[in-house]
Amino acid sequence: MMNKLHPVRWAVASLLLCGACSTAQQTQRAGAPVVEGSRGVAAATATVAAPARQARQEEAGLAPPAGEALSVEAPSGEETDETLPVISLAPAAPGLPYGDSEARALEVAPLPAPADLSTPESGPKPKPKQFAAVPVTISNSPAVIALLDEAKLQAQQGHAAGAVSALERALRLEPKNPYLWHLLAALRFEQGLWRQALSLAEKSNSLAGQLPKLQAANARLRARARQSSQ
Amino acid sequence: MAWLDLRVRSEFEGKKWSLPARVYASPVEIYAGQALTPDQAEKLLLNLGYRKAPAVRQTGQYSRTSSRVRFRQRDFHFWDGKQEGQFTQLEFRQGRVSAISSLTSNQALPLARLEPELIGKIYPSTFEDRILATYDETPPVLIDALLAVEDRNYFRHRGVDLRGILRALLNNIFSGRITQGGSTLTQQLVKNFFLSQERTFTRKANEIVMALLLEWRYDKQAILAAYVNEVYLGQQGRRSIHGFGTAAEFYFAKPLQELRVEQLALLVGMVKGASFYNPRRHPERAKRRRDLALTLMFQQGYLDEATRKKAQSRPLGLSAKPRWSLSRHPAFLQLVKEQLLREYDISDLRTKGLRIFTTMETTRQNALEQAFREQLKKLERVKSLKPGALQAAGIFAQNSTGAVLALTGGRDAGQVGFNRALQARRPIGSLIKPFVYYAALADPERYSILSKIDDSDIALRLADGASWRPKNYDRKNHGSVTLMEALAKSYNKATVRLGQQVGLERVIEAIEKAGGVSGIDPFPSVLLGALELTPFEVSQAYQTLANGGFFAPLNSIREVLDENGRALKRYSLEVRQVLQTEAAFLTNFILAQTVNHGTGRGLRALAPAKLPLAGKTGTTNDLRDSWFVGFGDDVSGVVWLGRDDNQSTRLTGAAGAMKIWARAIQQQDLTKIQLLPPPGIGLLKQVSVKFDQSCVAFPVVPYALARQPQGLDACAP
Repeated sequence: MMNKLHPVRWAVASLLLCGACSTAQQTQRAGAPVVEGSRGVAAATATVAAPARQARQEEAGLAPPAGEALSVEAPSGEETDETLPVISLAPAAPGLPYGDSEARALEVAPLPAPADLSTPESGPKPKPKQFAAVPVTISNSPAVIALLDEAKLQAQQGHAAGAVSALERALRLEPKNPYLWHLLAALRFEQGLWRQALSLAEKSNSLAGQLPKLQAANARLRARARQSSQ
Repeated sequence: MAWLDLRVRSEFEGKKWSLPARVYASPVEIYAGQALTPDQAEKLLLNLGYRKAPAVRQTGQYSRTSSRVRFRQRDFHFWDGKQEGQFTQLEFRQGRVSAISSLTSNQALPLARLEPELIGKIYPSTFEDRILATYDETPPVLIDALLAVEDRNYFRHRGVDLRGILRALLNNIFSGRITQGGSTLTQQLVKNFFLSQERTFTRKANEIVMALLLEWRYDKQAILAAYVNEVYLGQQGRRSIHGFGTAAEFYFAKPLQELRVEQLALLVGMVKGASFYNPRRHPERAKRRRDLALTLMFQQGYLDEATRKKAQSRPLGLSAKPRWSLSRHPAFLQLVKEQLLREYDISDLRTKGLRIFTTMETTRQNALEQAFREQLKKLERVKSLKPGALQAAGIFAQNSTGAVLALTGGRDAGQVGFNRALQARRPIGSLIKPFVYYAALADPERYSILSKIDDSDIALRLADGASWRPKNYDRKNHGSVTLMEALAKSYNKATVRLGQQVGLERVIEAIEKAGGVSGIDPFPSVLLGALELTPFEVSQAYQTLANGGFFAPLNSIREVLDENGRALKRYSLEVRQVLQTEAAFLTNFILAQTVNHGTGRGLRALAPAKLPLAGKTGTTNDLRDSWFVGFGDDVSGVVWLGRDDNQSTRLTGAAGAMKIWARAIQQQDLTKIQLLPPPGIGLLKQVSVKFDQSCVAFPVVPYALARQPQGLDACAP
């Protein structure tokens, strides 16, 4: 089931995210700025080093410890508009120890309508629309990417439980990846589990300190979940 | 006669085998980039019953070089469907998996999911263990062997083999005793199903009549299939081994379909007397019996001469005796059962053949058990305690999901009984303190981690009019200190004063919400941990804290499937925010300083490669309890040491529980703590802070954006 590393035709993220933010798609078509999400995440997951440790590292002439990195400003371009980027997979950052970046060259996924998630294959399918590429690296791990592919496949076939299961497997590998939490929140929202959607979006947000766009998406999702639950 | 017929029909048709529930650990997922050595990969495979082979031909075999491991996986039915067994190759470079590929399809794999390890079963009250095999799943060679050894005319007789009986009768008359049965397979089945074990001629008569009835009503294949699953083939403790499928697992640690001819012949030979021919206890005798079975198969044309010779020359090829009869990790299984019993009937659990997928990670579980085995004796020796005086409990859980990854309820992991992790309610001592500081930091208008608090004498008036004067562990006063220092160094007086300022009810609210407990009495002594919680509840409270204030109920079950592989219930990830994210973050920041500079700094020597981590020690009056809680980014763990007679352990949290905790994590993956500031947190850079009489330069100090700390004391080294 998980045996192929698909050339990445990735839609789940965009699909799910835009389930939570339909307006985002509209603006996105105009060509929103490219978001280097990977840098944001890397900066965000910096370690707060112990002072003693830092001293040792400095003596050793190593790069300044992550304490510095903590203060890295949000990646440029993030603040320019209110909309969420379409999240699709970018080529892996160069210099990664693992993974073949060629194999995962981005192919922008056409966005299926959000309704695809809850309606099984049978209904007439909306014609996919083309959008400008706005890559955000959700993860540099091929395993996580494969699981996201699986989640997408399951979601498209209307198997919400299967999609949740695949996302949870991905979260076991990267429990602090705020995108994964957001995707799970959006999926729960689609299932009508407002309360869980709300909590999961809050969880995503607590990890999204360096990712204002994701924060905004979480805010929208929370607002809609709150609205729906009333 | 009619009555016998009725009995035969009702028993045989209504026969529902009692199938124990099978409980599995979490499957290991191997991905490219993972920190894993070929040795570790080999160990994982060996744990799952894989066997090393020069060339990997069969499922369940593996081969390895210094940089490569290849193995043929078995098919396995997971909750998300059947996973086809692949011929998988792992390549390694510098202590990591560099590539995974399927040699079956010649493709790179992003992920290889191994079959999960079986960690226990929940048995019917008879303790019959049984793995069903349908007629189609039964290897033809097994049927050949059964016919050759037990009933050569099976497909020709009608339930009773007259020639067989005559032969047995003559034999019995000749020897003057009843030594031979001359029973057909059908008769043996009838005997097992319906009749007592006494050897009388009335019983024999009933047996014959019922065998004839059975054959008249049902076809040969159905009867043979029943026989294959019913026959008794061994015993381990209270657990009895029924059927060839179970015996294959018990003696060879393999599925029935993977057994070689001489292994099947051995099992068939044992039908005559499973304990007399027990191959583990009487290997010589069992081998003679096996070779006899092989000879009979040869004589009746089921084997050719070469195969017989080769088979007879092979050793018995037994697996190591299972180390466990009911469950490998009874304490963990107890938690699983407890959680299952909220939704299932006990008799369904025991008999319906459910498959239960748990959250246990066997590497962590084994590491925890091993740490207890090694370290407790050492601590007893150092502290001149009677061997066996110390008791212990431990839990490791995944911060983000609340999944319990390992749990032990006592020093001897194999022992069933009092499960201290779930049942021992003990005072938690200083483990309460982070919740006192959390309660303060949740009010950023009043407190930052650099706010000062007075660590001088304090007296509290108790309800009975008496006054209470807490002391510091080092018997000193430390004057005016920051919240950061007071928590990292676990000062009692400062903590009590802070708790008084913040309000006892706020502190209690925090620990109750985080730990999912209620009804803590609002005595001031709670501020120093005079409240009793189980290690499980402590683990829950710290899961919430480590997870940035998000409570995820501690859970041990991921999925329950019925006999046919249908999901009965999914246990989905649930989180609920119960603590403020920012205040939880600030508290965790201090707990990381506890390990860097405070009461947990001993950890730096014990587990240098795993740092930075956050942690908190806990010690109670007269050193009766020694606690440690530590967490990295993904996993948190609690260890408790104490004595069942409630005497002194002579150990502080740092001297006792922390050492065991450190030992337990050395064999585990633990992501270092990465304090990822949530949106509401700002950072002060390059701050010098007075810490334990000296100045320490912190590259960053976090604060709640709601209010930036003002008027910091300059502290020059």
